[in-house]
Amino acid sequence: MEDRGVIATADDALRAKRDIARAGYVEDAYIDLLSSRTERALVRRHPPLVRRGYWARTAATRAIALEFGSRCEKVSDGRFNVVNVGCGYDTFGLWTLDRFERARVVELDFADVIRARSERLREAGVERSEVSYESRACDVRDVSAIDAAIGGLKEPFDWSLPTLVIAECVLAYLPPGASDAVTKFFGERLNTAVFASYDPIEPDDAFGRQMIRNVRARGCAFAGIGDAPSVEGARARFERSGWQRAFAYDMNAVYARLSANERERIEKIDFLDEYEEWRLILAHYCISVGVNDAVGALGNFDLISD
Amino acid sequence: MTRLRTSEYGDYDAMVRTLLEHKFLPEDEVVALCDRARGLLAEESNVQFVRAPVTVVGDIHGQFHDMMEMFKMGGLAPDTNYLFLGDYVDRGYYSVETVTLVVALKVRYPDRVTIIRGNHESRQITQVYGFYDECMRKYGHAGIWKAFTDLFDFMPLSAVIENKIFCPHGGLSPSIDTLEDVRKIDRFAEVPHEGPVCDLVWSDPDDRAGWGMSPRGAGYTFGEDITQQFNHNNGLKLIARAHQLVMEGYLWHHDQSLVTIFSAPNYCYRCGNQASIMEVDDNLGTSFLQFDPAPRRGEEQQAAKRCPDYFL
Repeated sequence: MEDRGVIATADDALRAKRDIARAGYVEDAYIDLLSSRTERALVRRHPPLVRRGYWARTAATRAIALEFGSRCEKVSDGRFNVVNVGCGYDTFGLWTLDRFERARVVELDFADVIRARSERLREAGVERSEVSYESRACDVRDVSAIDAAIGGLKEPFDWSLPTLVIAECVLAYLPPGASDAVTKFFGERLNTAVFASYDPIEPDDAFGRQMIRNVRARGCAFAGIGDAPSVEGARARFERSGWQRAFAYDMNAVYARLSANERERIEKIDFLDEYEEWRLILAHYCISVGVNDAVGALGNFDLISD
Repeated sequence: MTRLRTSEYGDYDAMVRTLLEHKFLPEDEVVALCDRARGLLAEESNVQFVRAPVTVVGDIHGQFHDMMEMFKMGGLAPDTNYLFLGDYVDRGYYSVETVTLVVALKVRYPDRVTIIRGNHESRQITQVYGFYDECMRKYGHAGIWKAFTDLFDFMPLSAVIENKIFCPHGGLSPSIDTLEDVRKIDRFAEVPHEGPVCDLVWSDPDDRAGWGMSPRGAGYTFGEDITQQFNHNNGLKLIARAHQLVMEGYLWHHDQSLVTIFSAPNYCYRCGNQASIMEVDDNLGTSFLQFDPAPRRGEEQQAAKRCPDYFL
């Protein structure tokens, strides 16, 4: 298996997210704390295109959390779950907890990643009650492992609560066919839920073929990209795995929907000169969303613009 | 003395050979080369006249081995005349080698090789996009970067092939109606943030008519109406420019009144695009030679393992 290469992608994302926090793209109170000591000593300036792309991904997932959390105020008195599948060193869960005190966050990833992130947070003195925050080791390629991990939480998981499931660059790494099992697993158990997935797409055009070659060369092939090879395919994955409603946008469309004020602010941080490449790379990533809304609590939940 | 004396040809032939073999050129030789080129370019026009036949080259961006591939296909100076449209540096791993060779060819064959300025031939941009860092890495200090960026200020802003094909790096400018307007510019400075020099290296053609705001934050977008008007006013048949990644290596716009040429295959080792060069024959007929990347080696191969930047 290619665990090593895939696990290494958590470090890549961490470095990039730390860089955009340092450069002022996002506020992130925890990203430095989640970096290893050697990593913290390094300054790795990412190219403007990469910074802007990571900003778009972070801004989009945060916007989804804000939208979801605010809708839960009415439905469940502000109580809701967040499950971050393949969390890596994301600070998304802690960020959400800081904004929604009645949220409960569960993070799942390989044991090595969970061990490292727990140690670093402990060393940094970041303590959260296990009632609201727990990270568990589990191989997310295997739904029975996900089931067992959630079943084994110290505080029992309330499947009846509204739940936001996030998978950032996770489903495309799973073996062919495995991602459907993951979306199906959550879709079947949750009545009021949003599952948002961020993934590479379009592996078969010239840019996509090169992307596949390049990521394979470093041992982290997008093994499951064929299961959702396009915006439509990513949307269809949620539909065929039983979600009530599904939608998807490529990252060009997502970017256009992010707050205009925020875009204006971050576009001034770096001068981006490579527009064709920017549009090209954004066309090769998408956010797809499945919505289950048994009691009509989520209404017309969508990726918002202001 | 800006042009080489016949007695100097031997030294410069040796320099070109060294560079073609991708061997290291000592710092003092590079600095001397830049001095020589500065004197030569200072005498050239903002709209440097070029004779046909000539082969027109778009962005190269430090992809040295791909440039070698290109020479294999297109021939080498002085057997082939070349017009380089700028963006020799940044992004690729061999900006130093690439720009040194291009400048050496210019100095050795000043009437057969024409080089103009791209938006990356700038102090500001090269500090963000790699050339500065590469100079520091390869020569240990910023001297080489300074020698080249000082030279960049002297590069012509455009060329015109037989007064029929206008060739800027980027595109047109609302401050420019005629080639005479370009000729009148005082160009010997860093690329400014706005104005005609900025527009020539930064602007892009667009499907929308008229002038538009550029998403790049510098230069403008311009529509077919602008291109047709400019060509008509100046008795031109074509604008040939570079500046934008196009997946086939070239792309016609504006009812064939403008063409984009891009000569960096698999740009940034990531984009998967083909590259091309445009051959202009004696009758100003145009044809395109497309090419794929050379096999990766050295740093490029290492970089492939590190993986160019994706969102992982």
